[in-house]
Amino acid sequence: MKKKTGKILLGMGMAMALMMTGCGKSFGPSTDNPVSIKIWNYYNGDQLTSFDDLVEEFNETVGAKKGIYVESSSQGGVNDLESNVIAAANGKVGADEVPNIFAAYADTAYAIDKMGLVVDISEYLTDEEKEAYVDSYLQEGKFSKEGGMKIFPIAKSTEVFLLNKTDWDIFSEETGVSLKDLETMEGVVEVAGKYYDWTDAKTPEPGDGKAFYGRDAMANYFLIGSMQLGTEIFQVKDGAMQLNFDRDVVKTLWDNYYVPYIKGYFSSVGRFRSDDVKTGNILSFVGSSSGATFFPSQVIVNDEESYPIDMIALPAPIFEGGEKYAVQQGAGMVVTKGTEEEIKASIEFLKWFTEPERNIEFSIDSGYLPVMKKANDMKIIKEYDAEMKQSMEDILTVSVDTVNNCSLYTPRAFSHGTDARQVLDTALSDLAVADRETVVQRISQGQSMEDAVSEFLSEEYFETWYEKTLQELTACEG
Amino acid sequence: MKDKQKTKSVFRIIVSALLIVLVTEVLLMVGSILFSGVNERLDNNAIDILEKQVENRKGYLENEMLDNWSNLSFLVDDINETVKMMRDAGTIDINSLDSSSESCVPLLQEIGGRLITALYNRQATGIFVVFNTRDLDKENSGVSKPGIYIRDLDPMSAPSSRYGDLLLERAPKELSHFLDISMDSGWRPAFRFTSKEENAFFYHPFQAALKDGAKEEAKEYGYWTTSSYMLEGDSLPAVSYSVPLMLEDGTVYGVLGVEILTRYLKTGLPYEELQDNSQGTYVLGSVKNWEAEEKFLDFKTTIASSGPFFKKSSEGNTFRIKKIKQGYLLKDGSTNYYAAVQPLSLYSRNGPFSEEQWMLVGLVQTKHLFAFSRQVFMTLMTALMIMIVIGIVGSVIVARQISKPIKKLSGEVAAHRGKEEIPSLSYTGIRELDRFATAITELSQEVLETSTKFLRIMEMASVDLGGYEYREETDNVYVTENFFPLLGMEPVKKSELTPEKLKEVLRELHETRTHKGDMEGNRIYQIPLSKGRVRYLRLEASRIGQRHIGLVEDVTSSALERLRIEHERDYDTLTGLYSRRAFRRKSEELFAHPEKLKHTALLMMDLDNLKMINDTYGHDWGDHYIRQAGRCILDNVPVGTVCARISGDEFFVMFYGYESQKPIRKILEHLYRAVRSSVLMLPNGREMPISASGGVSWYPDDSTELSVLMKYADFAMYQIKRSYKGGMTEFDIGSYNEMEYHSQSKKEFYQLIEKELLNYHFQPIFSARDGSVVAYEALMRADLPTLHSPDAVMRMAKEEDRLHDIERLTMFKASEAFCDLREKEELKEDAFLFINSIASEYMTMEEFEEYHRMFSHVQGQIVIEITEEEFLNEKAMEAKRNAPGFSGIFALDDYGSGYNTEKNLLELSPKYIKVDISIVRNVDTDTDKQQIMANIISYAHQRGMQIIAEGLETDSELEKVMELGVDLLQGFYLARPAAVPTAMNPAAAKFISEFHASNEEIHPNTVHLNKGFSSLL
Repeated sequence: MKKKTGKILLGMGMAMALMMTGCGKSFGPSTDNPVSIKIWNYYNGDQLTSFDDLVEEFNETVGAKKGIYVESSSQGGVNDLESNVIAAANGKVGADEVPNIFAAYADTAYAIDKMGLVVDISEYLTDEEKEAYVDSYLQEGKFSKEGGMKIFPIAKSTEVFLLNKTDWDIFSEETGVSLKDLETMEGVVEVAGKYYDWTDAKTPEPGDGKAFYGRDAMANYFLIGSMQLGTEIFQVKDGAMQLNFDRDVVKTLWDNYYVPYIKGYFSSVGRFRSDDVKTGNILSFVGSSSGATFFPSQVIVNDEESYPIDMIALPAPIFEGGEKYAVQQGAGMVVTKGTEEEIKASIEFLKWFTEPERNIEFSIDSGYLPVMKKANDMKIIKEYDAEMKQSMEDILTVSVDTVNNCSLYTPRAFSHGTDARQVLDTALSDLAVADRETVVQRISQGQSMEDAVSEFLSEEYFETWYEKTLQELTACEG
Repeated sequence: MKDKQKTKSVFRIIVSALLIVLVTEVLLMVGSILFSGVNERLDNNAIDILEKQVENRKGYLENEMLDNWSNLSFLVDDINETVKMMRDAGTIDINSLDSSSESCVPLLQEIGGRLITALYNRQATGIFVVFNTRDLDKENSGVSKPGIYIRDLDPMSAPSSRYGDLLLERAPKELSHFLDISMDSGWRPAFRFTSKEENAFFYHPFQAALKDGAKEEAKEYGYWTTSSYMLEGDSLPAVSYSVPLMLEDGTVYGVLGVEILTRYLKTGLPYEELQDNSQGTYVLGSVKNWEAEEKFLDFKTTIASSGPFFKKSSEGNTFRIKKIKQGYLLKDGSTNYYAAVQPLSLYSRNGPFSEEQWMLVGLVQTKHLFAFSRQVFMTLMTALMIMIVIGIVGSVIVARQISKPIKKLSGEVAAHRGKEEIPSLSYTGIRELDRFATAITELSQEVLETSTKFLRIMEMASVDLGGYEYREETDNVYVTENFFPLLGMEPVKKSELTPEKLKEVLRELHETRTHKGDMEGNRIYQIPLSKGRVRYLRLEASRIGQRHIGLVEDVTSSALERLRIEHERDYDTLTGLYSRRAFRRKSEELFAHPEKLKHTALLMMDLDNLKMINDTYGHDWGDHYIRQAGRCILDNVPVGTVCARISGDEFFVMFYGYESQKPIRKILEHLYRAVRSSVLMLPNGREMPISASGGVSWYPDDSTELSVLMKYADFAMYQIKRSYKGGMTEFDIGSYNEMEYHSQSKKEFYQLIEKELLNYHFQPIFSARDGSVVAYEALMRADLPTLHSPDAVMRMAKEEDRLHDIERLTMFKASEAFCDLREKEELKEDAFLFINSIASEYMTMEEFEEYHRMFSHVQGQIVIEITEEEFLNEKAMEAKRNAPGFSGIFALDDYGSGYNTEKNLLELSPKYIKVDISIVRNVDTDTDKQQIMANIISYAHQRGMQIIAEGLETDSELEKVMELGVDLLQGFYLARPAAVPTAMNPAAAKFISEFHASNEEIHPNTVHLNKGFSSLL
């Protein structure tokens, strides 16, 4: 009897205890203390959509589990992002708070780092984790010998040559040019000339030939072109840049862009060259692999007329006899200083984002390349999505080949890096656009092409431009 | 036991009374909670809070939509002014404005910048202008409408320099360059009008204004899309607000609108605010004429939603909510959602779209919404539970206090049961109980006295008797004082003696002491005492209901008497070994458990000289001899070996349970050496060595059956005894079988002789000259299981010295068969009969005469064929030669195979010489054989003898012997022996005739010579 009663009592006590704890869980205050982190990016279009989708996925899965909420916003283009970040960092009126993570190229990251706002990522990654990433991607965030790692690579791109196959096929059949001709820059110039003449001959009116080629990111043309030709324009040592604007090298660059441009062989009308392909203005261009999602599936002639086109992706052409250099670009993510929780949450998100599974998903949507060594392999990429669009597969295949086969170059960060880059971006292309306009005017006034361009082809004209540009660049030195 | 179910303990009675009180209290309390309506009030509070929250959110949205996004009046005026100006300047023509993109480019260039500014200011995701001057109801599907559509995916961010954050969705391509805005991947130069549903964002406001004659202000025709749409080539769903563009003269020339991507709209619907743990959901949708609806609100499509309810996509879901007394309810499977519904006032009353109603719905699962009231309820319930527990515990404690002394007393009574002393029961302090206790004490006293009387009687009995008694399920055990001493055990203390203990003692007794059952089924145990004495105890146990009673009785004297009788029965008095019967029983017991046998040897021994001793010295000394042998066996085998004297001088010794034969062999060897070295001193002082022959059979190697093993041992023993006495051998199955076989053959042989079981077959012998049958050879055939060949018969006859009978049988039986066939005309009448006669044998005179009497008519055709294998016996030859009626023709068989060939030939001077088969075989290829053959032929022909080639098997052999000049032919190739002889094989016949034909043609001389030769002979 005694024992039995004891048991009943014990049972009741246990039931009560269970009920009490049950109450506590359901109705008590939540002990979770979620960390909210802000990310600024510069994506647009499909890339932005893909990035936002992944952020949402993170928030719903890992984030929800670990109490991390990521808020992402696009700040427009790279330059907007940079100025917004710098404005925020300087605490300007109307500027937002500095985000926990922002996308940045080395130059911007370097500038913000100098303000002492950037976290050294290497402290938060194990050696094993670091080992998983492509070395040169991690190197980009190493500003000085003892500087640690300041940029977390999340997606990289390189440049590829994209061609409107449909129109090319007709052109190549009639003139005998081949894709092999497009392997060198000089070859591209020659083909472009042929294309101009070929299209010119299609109409009775002389001088109305069409441009074949265009180029995005003119700074890359300078930087990579000169690397291929054996010189590095910005030689950076511990954040100090020493200019090496070699006259002969620059002349080659001039001859292969400015000259064909003013002759009408090259063109740039839309904001990006993909826009020019879309409107039928040009047939091909060199641009970022990440811009590939913008390559059109049709050429739109006017409101009513359009025709579908196929695409060919080829490695970006290199200068004849030049070394195989290709650009490595795509901003990384910079983690800014904040509470330890915020930093850890930021790193957590970035690690999650760069795991092959997500990284490849993002690649396939955006044309960016994954950053882990393992994921830089078409076989593995295709394992994740066997049914990706053919054009995206072609672009990724060429890009992965480029990354794996070429020396990748990315200019090191230095104080006036952004300004210097701006000079390279515009110095040659703006002049080309302006002079081409003059040429067109002259031709419409009845001059021959030779006469119209002769003024701009003189050595003095080049010299004047060279000196002016050299001066502008020298200002960024130091 | 049964009684326990009916009665109740004191404790239980008290506890149940207290519990009834407790239950009543609890019921009262629960009732008061339920009827107070606290929960309902809490629930209503929760609903009110939710409704307020949704209302606030609606206010925010309304504000955003009306004051911000749809605030386009200035822009509309601005555009209209620009249009008028440009029209007046002739730059554009209103009527052809929508004809192509080119026609509107100047206007778009003019207003493009302002649109972008408005886009940035309104913080919308897109802005658009569509130019159209025609009635859309009359337009074909697919017609292009020029215009511009600019998109900003991140409206919350500060505008970018150089419009870097913008994309062109629609615009003439010139605009892309002009504004320096990148084209989106779905860019088209113009809009495409397909249907009013798909192009609702510009169809509705335009048509409304057009139909109305553009009387009102533009914003009166303003239209919010009621569902999200997607531009052709785009993947992002959006809603928009658009107003018509019109001039004072009533010309409607297009539509201006702002676009809000639903994903951006979602950011304005923070569902987390609805409920803790983000359980709420916001849904934005539109219904028509909602105020008229009484039961349900049907949302054909949702515009946007945020929160967990619509998991997959936030647009395009349909759902229905039900009007209830207080608000709305949404049922999703088994889950109920409370819906707070707030209409957004976007249009002025009586406007063209006023019946389109945007609604903001806040959904929260009722279980979450009403969680607080449930929590309150649970808290009250918890308090109630605690009350119940305390009540129960209290009741138990009180009840225990009262029942404790009663329980103690009852425990004391139980503990004293079966004990001899009078229980001393403690004082409880409760009067009734104490009186009860005294009565128990007195009763115990009386019971004790009764039992002592019986005990005395037991002790007075003359036989040693002991006993016990116990009841199941009690601890009481009674044993007599002498019980344990009788069992030869130390007495167990009374206090330690329980039924279990007693059972253990009995089990121990059973396991450790030798025992057997007696005839009544009781057990008799052997209890060893000091000095080797033994006590026999009989244990008789019985059970009456729950009571177990046992009686032990000393039965030593009767048991000893029986043992003595058994011993005399089982043991041989002379040797002390087992008797035959005991051996049989013992060994059968062992063979019933083969696992005990393992390897076992059975030795049978037979004393060799007993008869001689009995005869010479008398039976007393014979007995001495046997005893001595028995002792010797017993002394030299391991303990446990089964030794028995079976009969006079025969012993069986069985060694069993060995792991292999090896140790047994060692013992056997030792035993034999001991037997051989043991002697009997005879009365004359001579030493008589003991001699015994032994045979051993093995288990399980030879057999697993005892009877077989005994037979085998016996066989082995006689085998050795036959070869030399005093030896020992092991059973050998080979010789056993041989002997068996041999004796079988022998049996059959005698049967054969007796019943004349011999038959004779005939094989023809042909003439080499013309192939005609010249003679038949009679061949013996026997057909008995072990004697089926003539050789076997002959061997046995020789062994048994019965060759004579064979000779006789052959002569008679062969002749008899021959006569039969002759009569039946189954064979050539004048052919000779070759009978194989044994060279060393001959029939008796009487037999000869008998033979002559029976077969005189064929005697002239009989040829006696003497086989070379036997020595020629002259006496036999003489007898045969002189037999009455004998033809006098002999044939010499197997010429060239035996010994004394030439001597035999000379002595016998046969008419026929049969060349042995060993010479005929392969004679066609072997030149040596050809030479021998030629020699014999030459010899025979010179002396008038004929040569028979026997055993011909091939045509080549046949050809060769014919070439060599053989006279007669015999062999399988020509004809096989048969009961009725057959004709010659046609192939052979053909061969013979062709042989002669060709020889005559080619070598007529040779044939002639041969003929001449033979005639000469």
